[in-house]
Amino acid sequence: MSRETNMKQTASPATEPKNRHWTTLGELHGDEAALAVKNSEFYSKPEEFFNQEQATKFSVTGDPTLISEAAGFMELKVKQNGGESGGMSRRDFLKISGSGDGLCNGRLRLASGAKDYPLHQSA
Amino acid sequence: MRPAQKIIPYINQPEEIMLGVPNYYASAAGGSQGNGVLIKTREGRPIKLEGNPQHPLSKGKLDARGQYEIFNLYDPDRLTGPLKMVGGQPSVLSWGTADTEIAEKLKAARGRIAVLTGTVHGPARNKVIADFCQSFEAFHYSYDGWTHHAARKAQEMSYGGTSLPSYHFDKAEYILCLEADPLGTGYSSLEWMAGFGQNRHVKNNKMSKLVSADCGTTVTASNADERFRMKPGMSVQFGLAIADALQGRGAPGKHFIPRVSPFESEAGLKPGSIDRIATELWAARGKSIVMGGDTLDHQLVACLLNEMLGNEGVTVDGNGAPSNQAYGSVVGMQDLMNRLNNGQIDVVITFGTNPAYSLPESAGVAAAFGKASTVIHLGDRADETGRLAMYLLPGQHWLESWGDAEPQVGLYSVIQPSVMPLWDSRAAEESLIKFAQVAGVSGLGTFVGGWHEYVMETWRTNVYKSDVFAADFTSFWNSALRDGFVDLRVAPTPRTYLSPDLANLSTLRNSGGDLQLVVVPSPHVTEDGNANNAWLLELPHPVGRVSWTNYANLAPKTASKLGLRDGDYIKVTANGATIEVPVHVQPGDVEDVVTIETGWGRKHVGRVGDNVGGNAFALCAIENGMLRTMGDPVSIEKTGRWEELPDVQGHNYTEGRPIVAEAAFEEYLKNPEAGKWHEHELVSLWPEHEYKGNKWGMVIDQTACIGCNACMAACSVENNIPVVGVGQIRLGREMHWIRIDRYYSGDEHEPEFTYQPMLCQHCDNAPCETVCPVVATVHSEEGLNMQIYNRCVGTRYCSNNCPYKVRRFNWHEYTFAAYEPHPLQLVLNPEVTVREKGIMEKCTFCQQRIREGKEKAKEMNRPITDADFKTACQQTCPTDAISFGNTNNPDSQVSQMKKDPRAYNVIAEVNTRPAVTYFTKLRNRPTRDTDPYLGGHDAGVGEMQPKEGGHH
Ligand code: SF4
Repeated sequence: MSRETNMKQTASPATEPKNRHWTTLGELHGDEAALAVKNSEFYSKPEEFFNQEQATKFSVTGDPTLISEAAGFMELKVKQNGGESGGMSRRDFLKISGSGDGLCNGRLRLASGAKDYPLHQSA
Repeated sequence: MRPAQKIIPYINQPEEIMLGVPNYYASAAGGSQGNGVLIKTREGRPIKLEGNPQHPLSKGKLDARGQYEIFNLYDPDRLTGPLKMVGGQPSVLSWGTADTEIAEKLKAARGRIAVLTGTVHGPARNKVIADFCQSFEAFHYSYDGWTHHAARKAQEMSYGGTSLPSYHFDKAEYILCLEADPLGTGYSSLEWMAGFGQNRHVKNNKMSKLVSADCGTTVTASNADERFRMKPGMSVQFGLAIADALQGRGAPGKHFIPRVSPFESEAGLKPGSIDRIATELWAARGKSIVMGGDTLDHQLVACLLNEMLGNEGVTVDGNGAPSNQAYGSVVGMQDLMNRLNNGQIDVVITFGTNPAYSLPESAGVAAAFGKASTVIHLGDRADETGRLAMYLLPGQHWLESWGDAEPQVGLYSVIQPSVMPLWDSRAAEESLIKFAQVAGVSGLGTFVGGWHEYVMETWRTNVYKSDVFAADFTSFWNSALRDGFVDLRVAPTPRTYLSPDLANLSTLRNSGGDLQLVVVPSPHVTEDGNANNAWLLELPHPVGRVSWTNYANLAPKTASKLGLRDGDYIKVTANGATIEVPVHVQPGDVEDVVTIETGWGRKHVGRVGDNVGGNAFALCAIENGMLRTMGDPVSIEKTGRWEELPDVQGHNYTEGRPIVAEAAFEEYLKNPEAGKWHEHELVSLWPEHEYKGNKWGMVIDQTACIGCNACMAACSVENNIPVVGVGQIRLGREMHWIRIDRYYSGDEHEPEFTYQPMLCQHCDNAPCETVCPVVATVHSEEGLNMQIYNRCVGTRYCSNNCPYKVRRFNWHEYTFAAYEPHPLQLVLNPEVTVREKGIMEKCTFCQQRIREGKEKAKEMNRPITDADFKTACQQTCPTDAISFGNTNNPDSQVSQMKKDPRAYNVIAEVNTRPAVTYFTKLRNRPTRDTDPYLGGHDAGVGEMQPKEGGHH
């Protein structure tokens, strides 16, 4: 059976455009605020979301739906207390760790032929 | 962790219901457009609406409003039972008591009764009102917020009848719009979008051309191949200048055309523009359409041009099957108020219209209604007009009741109920019959039966009799219910043009003022219950991409002249009224024009829609029986308040990577790959996936996409997409699995627009799959990028690593909608998991539909084909911009399309190998030396790059 071969891959643009695309006036004019949004890793800031209350709730109840808030809160605290990770942004870190993981796991992924079976008798 | 809830099986299972298997019912949407729909129900409750593929208007499609209509059915803010206002307070009463009391009042008020509705079509719906009026010697008035009265008046002056024409966009190779927005807010916009879409797919090196002369960026204007920006009303002169040029080309008839030259220099157009457009139109005579805006002048000029171009009786149908979709009139409303004020009307019965909201306060609706001794409201909620009533007797949603529709003369549909009434409600028509029966009046009072029997009886004596090929009535009725419509339309013939006097068109006298007001309808929010539809309010505006409010659109130059920016709240004053709205700076709008949409600023629609935005109807004046919406002087005052606009465009940045390929059609004809950038093979570290069976893929034609948002709406309904609210939107946490990205090219004053639907690209080399620490996002054997919800722990690494920014994180618990407020939970699609807080989600290519398709194929003992299912976005897209299927089948439509020279992948240079392919956006206009991809292949594209010196 054929592989997915009909997609011709394209490379990065070689030259500056005569005209360009833009989405907001701020972006067109290179406004600082627009660029800040553009260049931020996450549009939503952890400060706006992670809070002590949720983290405490997680530690008391163990509610798994609060896990990411608790983790986010802890990460935020480390950052706020000056515990920065050596100047490397989270995105850069992910780029490197992502490729590393990818290289390691590539073989495993190919080799995996495990199947999931549903329960024969559910509770 | 889950609430312990018990599921109780049917004791007596209804014969037609198989648990887990949906039933579909054909019907017609109860709104004025009357499109044919299929209602998907599960275990007796409607969960999704789709266009009826056989219906001549909807052709299987639905717009965003139509998709979200299902939410209105389950709106918890509808009236739940009959109420009577006693001492200013609502008190509960029984239907029996209400009927008795009202019957007495009606008997006493015979000859002094008015029935006020919106546009009503459908033989039974019209007849029951007529019968009621005859029985009580009552008057029937019809009024809609947007009345299209100017169009009807122009038809009357030009052709002698007040019917609104039907337009055949599917036959139009050239469309000229003079301040008209047929694709966004036309009275048959879905039909027109679908027709328009048919000619936007390049076939045999041909595509249609859309030209717009306007002052504001509507859906239509933003999709124009060529756009001429001009002051409000100047497009009338533009039309006349074209008429003048056509006369010189030998257009039939001698028409007095007021001289408007030298128009080009006055309007700042390039010399020769008028002549060129006239030449193109002349070449497309009989295959073109000219549409006018909502003023009499625009409409008269459009009639003249259609006549000169020989479109009358071909693409413009004024006498074969004209439209019934907009009958309301301000003139009628004024007559009613005069009678009320003169004490000639004692009882008013209203439903399907909301004049207390949509007429300016100066019209005095509340005062006039106050003169009646009894006002009876048969609508579904205590809206602005309902609150003027003594009796509020809840009407039903059209999904709960019988009814019928005749959107074009001879095109009939039965509206059939698909769910038991959710509340203690009754169809308004049922109430009219009941009042007459209890009053014991002759005529309607003697009818034996209810509204259902009345509909059947009317069809027996009316539609059935007109169908000369029909067998017995029962078979006829059953097939009408099954098919959803009966088509008895006849072909049009050209009408005789009456050459109305065009010498004194009022817009030729420029009304002036430093700033001019333009009020336009919203493409989403209407003056009914839609304004309380949370899904609809969260849907970003097609052009502005702002959700949860309307706003005053200002051109960039005007905003900077006035010292205003996005989100500044201003007081807008016109015709003695003031409203407060935020500013939105809209590139492409004309200077010194303030454009505001109606539908917003509701006082009484429900918990979601109350006090959201400002009511732009309030700013209009009434002149010659019409709402004057264009050109009035307007003043603006800063309030000092600022709030960030909930603008979704600007979220989901893709790190300055190239996104859009576009080219002028002329370039494309020379080089079919025009607009694409240089290509070469990329090397991958990953071994390729091997697909032994199906491999699903999608193709999106950006030339056909008009950015209407219908796909977003269909996706939300199908996939239980939560509403997050205005605050979360501001934080960039909208949950739509498919979004429409709107790109500008060119400068901020005259930009061109490209709409690009963006969804999970189901990449072969998916960057999200490689970074998930718990393997919650994995690749399927059929090429789907799958998200395993109960594995996801919410690290958001996948979202971070996705170059398309299409992954959505549940920042909050939205599943509460599954429990309250009742009955909102009934809107959920049981075929799709409702996701919890803390996990990631995204487009699945509607894998539940793929599975359904497979089951269908398995039952028939054959492999699945592309015809077995459609994704929700593909299914509804009015212009057929989305195609989906098996790319492992070399004969499939998508496989063929992926070989098209226009096919390209977005951000392909990072070698994600997406399963979604886009077609280059083509603009049917001459090439310009500012075109982004001029010269095709080797020209580059720098999308989202800051100006020199900016950070990159
Ligand atoms: S792809 Fe979506 S936005 Fe574009 S025309 Fe189709 S439904 Fe409308």
